[in-house]
Amino acid sequence: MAKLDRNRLMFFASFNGTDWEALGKDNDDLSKELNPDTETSKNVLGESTFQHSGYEPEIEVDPYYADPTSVLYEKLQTAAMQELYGDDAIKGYFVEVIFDTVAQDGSTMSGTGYKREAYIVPQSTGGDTAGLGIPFTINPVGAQTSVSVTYTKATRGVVIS
Amino acid sequence: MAKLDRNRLMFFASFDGTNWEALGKDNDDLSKELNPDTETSKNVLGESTFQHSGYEPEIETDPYYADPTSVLYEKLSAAAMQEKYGDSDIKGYFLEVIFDTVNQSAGTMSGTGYKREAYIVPQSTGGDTAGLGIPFTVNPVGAQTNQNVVYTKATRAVTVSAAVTYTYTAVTPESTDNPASEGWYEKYGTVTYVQSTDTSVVAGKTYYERSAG
Repeated sequence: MAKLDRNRLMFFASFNGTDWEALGKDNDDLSKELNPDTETSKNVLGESTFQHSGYEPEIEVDPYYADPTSVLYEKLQTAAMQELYGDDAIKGYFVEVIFDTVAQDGSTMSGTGYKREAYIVPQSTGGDTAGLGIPFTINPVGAQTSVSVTYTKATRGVVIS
Repeated sequence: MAKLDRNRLMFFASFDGTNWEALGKDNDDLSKELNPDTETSKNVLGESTFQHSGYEPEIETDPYYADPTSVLYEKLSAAAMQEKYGDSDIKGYFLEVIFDTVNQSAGTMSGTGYKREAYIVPQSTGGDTAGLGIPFTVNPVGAQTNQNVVYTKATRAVTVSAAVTYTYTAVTPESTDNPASEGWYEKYGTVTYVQSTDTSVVAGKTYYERSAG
């Protein structure tokens, strides 16, 4: 066994918890930054000490080119253009999954994902000449629930149950 | 459908609310930075928390080469040279629009824009040898109003008028119809209609005709 392909881990976002978009169509580098809140120090015994106070995860999706057929487009561009930031404008869901099973023909992948609520926050509108950009960040919040995720490569379709 | 061309979103600025300039003539990268004021933290339940306190939008137009025929030139150069910063010197209007309709034959694009007051603040005078630069930032303020915006590519002229409400009605196409040339739309999401690029009718797809009012 060698290292896993990058597409074995995927992120998905949704505003309604039903229609999901696989994140990364415009990105060659995409991470959930855990931003661990840690502190290293030393004590009077001459030892090193370490304290971990939890994570503040964030996913920065940049670039992200607007596509009216995307399930995120309508609410994302509305929030960006009208500068809305209420829960009903930017709160949705986030799923992270490592696919541990790949169909023999490679067409689908499945695995256990972790779903929770998330804020989907546009960062800017416009950008360079490559396309109409609305980059955004995702800030997952609250408790996670385990979900079963099946992803179809050809269509980017995903079933989360 | 793929990503939208960059020119489907444009920014316009004006000092008097009547004479508008399309921003970006000297820029290959131009954004409204939303600068969201957010704070992430965690709680004692082991969960992440998040707070969003609003946006502080800013558009940085740099480079911007002075052009005496520009509608912004007179006030922008006066503010920059005489270092004025009163409302009467730098306050104007900002307009952001996504064009959802393109009329290829007329060379126009149209869509709903969001207009509000804005401070147009010169940042420097001079610059490099490419031209006389007066780069500026635009800081939109106050409430937005919806506007109907029509942009003519050849002249960069823009017409801003009261917002138009459109009604979309499903059509019953003939098999020989050309949805793109008919000017029909396709529906995505709950309120998003996009001009169809289909040159022949796709079975099972619903096309819509748009009418004002």
